Amino acid sequence: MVGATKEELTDALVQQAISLFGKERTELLLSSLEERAEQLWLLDQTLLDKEEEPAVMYFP
Amino acid sequence: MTEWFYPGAAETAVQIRSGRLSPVDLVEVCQRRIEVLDDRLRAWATIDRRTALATARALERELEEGGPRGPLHGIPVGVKDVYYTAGVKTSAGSKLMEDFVPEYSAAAVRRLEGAGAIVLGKTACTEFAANDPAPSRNPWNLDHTPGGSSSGSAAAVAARTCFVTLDTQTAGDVLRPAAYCGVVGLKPSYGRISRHGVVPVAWSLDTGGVMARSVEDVALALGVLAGHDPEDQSSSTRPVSDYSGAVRGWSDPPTLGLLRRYFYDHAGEEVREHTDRVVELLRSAGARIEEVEPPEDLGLVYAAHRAVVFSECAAYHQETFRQRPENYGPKLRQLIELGQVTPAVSYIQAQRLRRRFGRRLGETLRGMDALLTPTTPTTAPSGLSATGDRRFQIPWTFAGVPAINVPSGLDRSGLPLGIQLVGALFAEDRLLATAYWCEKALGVDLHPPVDE
Repeated sequence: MVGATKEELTDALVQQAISLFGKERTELLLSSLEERAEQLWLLDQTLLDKEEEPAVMYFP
Repeated sequence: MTEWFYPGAAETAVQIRSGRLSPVDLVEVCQRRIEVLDDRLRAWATIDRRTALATARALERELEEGGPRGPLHGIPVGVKDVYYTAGVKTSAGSKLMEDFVPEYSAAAVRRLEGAGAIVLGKTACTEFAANDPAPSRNPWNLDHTPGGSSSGSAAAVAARTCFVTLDTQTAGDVLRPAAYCGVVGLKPSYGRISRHGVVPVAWSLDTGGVMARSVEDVALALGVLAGHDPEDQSSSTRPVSDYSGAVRGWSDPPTLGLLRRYFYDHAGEEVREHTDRVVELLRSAGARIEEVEPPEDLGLVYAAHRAVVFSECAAYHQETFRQRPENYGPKLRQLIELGQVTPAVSYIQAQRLRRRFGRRLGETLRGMDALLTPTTPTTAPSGLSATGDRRFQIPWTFAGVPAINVPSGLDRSGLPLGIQLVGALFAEDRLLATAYWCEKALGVDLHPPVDE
């Protein structure tokens, strides 16, 4: 969700959690989902060079 | 209480080879200590008394007849309960695996045994090496956590119930418990120790590690454990150095980069003051120490690590979790659920950031022997429902570089403090030599009050 606000990210995570785990369980996860959204938002804000590829954790 | 007269693993191995110490006596002493102490410490998940004694007797004969099997001949060790051990229960701290007895041993366990080590048993760990605590307690204060996930290993080494433990780190699972319990803990570079036959947490982060009472002892153990294993898909083919030789051969004071930013922002006052005193002490002993800036926003690195560990852990447990969610502890259950809702794009962005961080960290380390930080924000927190703050250890696991905890003193309440030294990728020889120099300069030798 590039460009999403923290609130939009939280909403997206909550909706997905409801569809996977149900409303009751999602209620219990709410503060963790908000924390996750904050962390994902931080990642979204990070400008990475176009040529930066994902790390492959194998050091031959 | 049995008195503990024995020196560390390296010196004890020399005494065994020369016939001054008997492996059978050593195993019996360790087993007696476990018997007396472990009701309180709960460091051990499974003890295999008979096999350990039989192995000790066989090693005693082998020494007389043909000489030592390897550098750890006759040394009693513990193995974290995520490593497979043939014929010995391997439960990974989980109900789901409570009756699991592997038919083969993990490659790292086989290396230890091939070098003459005697496996006393399995040390307790958090559930699947994640966040639901092990029953283990901190030998310095039973009301405090020993840290995790290698909780039992740190308590076992600190309480002198074994000489060395074989462990794993995915976030801060070796260094944090080592710091909380006052022992040396080494997480080498990713891929340095085989993980074949290890229950995973997150494949791209899981790294084999060791704990012992001194830097010399972890160097000895790493020398045995390091090396390529074709059965581990991420095992490195890079040549293995002579780590014990590197430690013994070092004499020049090191050049260290002190990282205050982020670490001092999150550390308690006592840890900050202590780290400053350590820096002054090392400087007065000749170390060149300059303050350096983190090569990346470490809060961002923490967020990226979380995205990776949650996603990979959710993927590993996907099938079993769907079938038996009730058999997971509350913290692991939450971790898996958060992994299930983490977007794939975020996972990929985290891995891209990881590559950049690794490259920038390599540049920061150029011309340095190691970076220096406090290992943990505070000493071991009170309570046994959590295993402490992992944020100081995570950056180095994420970058795949080696890091080591060196005990550096006690706080005002008598709990251990430690410094964390971070080296360049696969420069374990240099890192261990630096840690050895610091250990000697600090002159700290901690023994918890379990024998009083």
